[in-house]
Amino acid sequence: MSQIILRPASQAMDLERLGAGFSSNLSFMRTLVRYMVKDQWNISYSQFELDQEGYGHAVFDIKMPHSQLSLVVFSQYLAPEDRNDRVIAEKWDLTMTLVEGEVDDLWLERLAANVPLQEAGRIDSRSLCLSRGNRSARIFDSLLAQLRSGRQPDPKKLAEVGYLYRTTAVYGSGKFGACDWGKIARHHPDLARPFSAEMLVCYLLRQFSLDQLHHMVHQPDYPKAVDLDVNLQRYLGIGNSTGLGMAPYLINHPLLMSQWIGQREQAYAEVLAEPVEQDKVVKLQRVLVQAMQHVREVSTFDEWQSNNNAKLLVDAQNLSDWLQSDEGKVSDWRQLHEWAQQHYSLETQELLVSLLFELHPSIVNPKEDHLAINESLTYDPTQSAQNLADSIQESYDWVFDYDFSQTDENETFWYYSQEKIEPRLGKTGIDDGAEVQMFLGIAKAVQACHDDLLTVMEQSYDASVAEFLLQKPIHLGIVNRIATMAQTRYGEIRANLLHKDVLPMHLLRCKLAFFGVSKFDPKSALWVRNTMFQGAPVVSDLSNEFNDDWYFPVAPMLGNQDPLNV
Amino acid sequence: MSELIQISANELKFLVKRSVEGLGFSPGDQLSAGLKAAAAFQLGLANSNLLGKGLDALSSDISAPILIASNDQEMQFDAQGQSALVQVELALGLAFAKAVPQLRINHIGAAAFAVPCLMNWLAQPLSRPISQQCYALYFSHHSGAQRCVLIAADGQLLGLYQPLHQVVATDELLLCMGQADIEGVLITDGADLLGWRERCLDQGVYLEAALLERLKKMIQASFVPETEASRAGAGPG
Repeated sequence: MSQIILRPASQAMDLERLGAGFSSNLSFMRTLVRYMVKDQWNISYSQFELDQEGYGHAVFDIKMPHSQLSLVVFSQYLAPEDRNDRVIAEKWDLTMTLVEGEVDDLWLERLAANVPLQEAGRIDSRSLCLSRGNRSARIFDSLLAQLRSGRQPDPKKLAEVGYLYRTTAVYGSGKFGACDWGKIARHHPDLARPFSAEMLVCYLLRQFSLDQLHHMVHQPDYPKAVDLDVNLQRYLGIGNSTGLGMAPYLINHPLLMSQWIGQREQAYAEVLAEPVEQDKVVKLQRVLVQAMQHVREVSTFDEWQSNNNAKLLVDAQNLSDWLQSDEGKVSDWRQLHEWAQQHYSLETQELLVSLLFELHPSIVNPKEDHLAINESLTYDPTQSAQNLADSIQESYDWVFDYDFSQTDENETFWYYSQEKIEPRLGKTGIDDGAEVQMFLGIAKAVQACHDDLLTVMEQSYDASVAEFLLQKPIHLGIVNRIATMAQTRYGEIRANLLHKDVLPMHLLRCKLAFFGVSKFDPKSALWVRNTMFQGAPVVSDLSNEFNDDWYFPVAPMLGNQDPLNV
Repeated sequence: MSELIQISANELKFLVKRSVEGLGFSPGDQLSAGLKAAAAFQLGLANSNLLGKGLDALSSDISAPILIASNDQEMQFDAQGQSALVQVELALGLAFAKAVPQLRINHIGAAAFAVPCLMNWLAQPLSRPISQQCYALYFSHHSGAQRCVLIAADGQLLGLYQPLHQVVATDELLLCMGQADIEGVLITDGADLLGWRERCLDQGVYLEAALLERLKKMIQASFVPETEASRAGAGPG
């Protein structure tokens, strides 16, 4: 094994690179499924009370090694004109909550009165998550009709959508009365990883969508009805739309982000230091072919993403050719990494990270248990102002790349909209609301703090941070942040979110890649459609042999044909 | 008595943070207020009544407490009526940095919210460690009676006391560094306070419905009517 060399923060924390990431075996969905299999989770229905139209309720019973949970799902009729994926919608096809233990009739009654209302209802601290989903109007009814008549759907048509339901929100972290993350971490160790509970809800929503479909298919009037081919079942995921609401999360949780990136980078550095074995090179080529097919199947009208995908496919073919050439007889993975850096797009470089991760699960997978962190931003009042200024120069040197006297660097501000209670972007000097903008201009705030530190130190060279803050209390927030983040290896995401051309899409994709979604389909610079758990095992697969190989899902063929060898 | 609503500590933190934001406080004050409120509730040091008082006392016209007297033994600040939900750390921090044995903050609202701030600092290694075993923080409790919280040098809570004598005025906070023996009656020891926190972790905290509505109304001030341009392309949100 050669020397472990970490990518520098200037590279790993660059927003454009973070926005080029792909899911991997370190992604939360992959981790969840691995644990479900490894620990033999027992998932079944304790109640499945649906009428022939699929309306009613169902309760999943989830037995994990350390605790037991239930997912309570309510299915109700939704008029097509009421089907609305926006946050302000008031009715949904499905609503659900993940709760502790078993659900008795009294509790079920209470949940039935509140969960379908979502934000307008109230759950209690026995709930871990609250969520809802809407049916895909494009696919559900036609698929139902085909299966009732005994026919399988055209996989290509199915692949155009890729899911039966879309989530429109999954709330955790103590929202609307649900319990705090601290309780999950303490009392439900099987879910004590970031977003595990939320991912479980989405996974079971996907399972419910299949079970509800089959329940509706196999009604007495349809004697020829068949189940959906199991390969097609596995290919169906859960649709998701992610908008600006997710973007501030990455800036508001810098310690968590630093931890996620830090673990990923540590894994990558360790992988690059591993010796190259022929069977791994063969697997790399196989996974690369699959990734290319996966990207070919991404359906997007977004020009920017289409260009990125096209470039990636050219690069990936080039990489595949190079690996088979004499020049490409790699003797160590770092050589491959450096080749990619020199020749390929950011997306291809980051795709290579995910591909190499798949070859080294024994190095990568254990990092999944180190992704959670206690998020506390704290300064030390006894520290000298000089030390704080030094920290800025060492860990925040990148903020001085921006000249905030230039209009372009300040043209955007972020605010919460009164109408939707969601983040929006405003134009400085044009739109109202700059005075109550969200605190996302980290680079600007650090610069201003540094300027004031120098001024205070000119007057009193041995001033403490406490003395500085008493003179300049406006900097309390950024001082908390600098003092904490300067102690981390990777620190902050490096970008000016106030720039006129800021691309929130990078933030969304970064987080979604950690979640493990696929099929990024931007609908603008501000929101993206994607698919969750596509290709994942269904619940009945969990007790079977499992190879953890549902990466880069590609549209299946009916029967036993391999879609990569047709 | 008003109806009580169970919420999570994280939700309380969010509600208070955004309410303080709506009043025009700086980002540091916003987050600090949310954290203090949530932690004080979890320790049983605050209830709806105290939080209501803490909100009443908030004034964004005040940017920091004023240092009115200082010597080797004592430092005295005037908070000008400001709530301890914000800015109290500016005074506490200076006392720490100067290692002054005693700090008194006059004219402060809902002083109990200072406790989590102190615990937080002590839980981390300081650049200039203060060689004190214990820290005693005196304030008026939400019941109106005086209380003293004793905190160990590592930030652990040692106990909640009822002082035998009047030590602080109703709008005053007193920090005594190095005071291990409290002249008073132990009400709850550190383990019980932590036990309360565990219970809150399990069952959430309880807020009066009227206060919850008040917080939600306060948050409205941080919202901005969106423009058609900003709505364009924003997708499902």
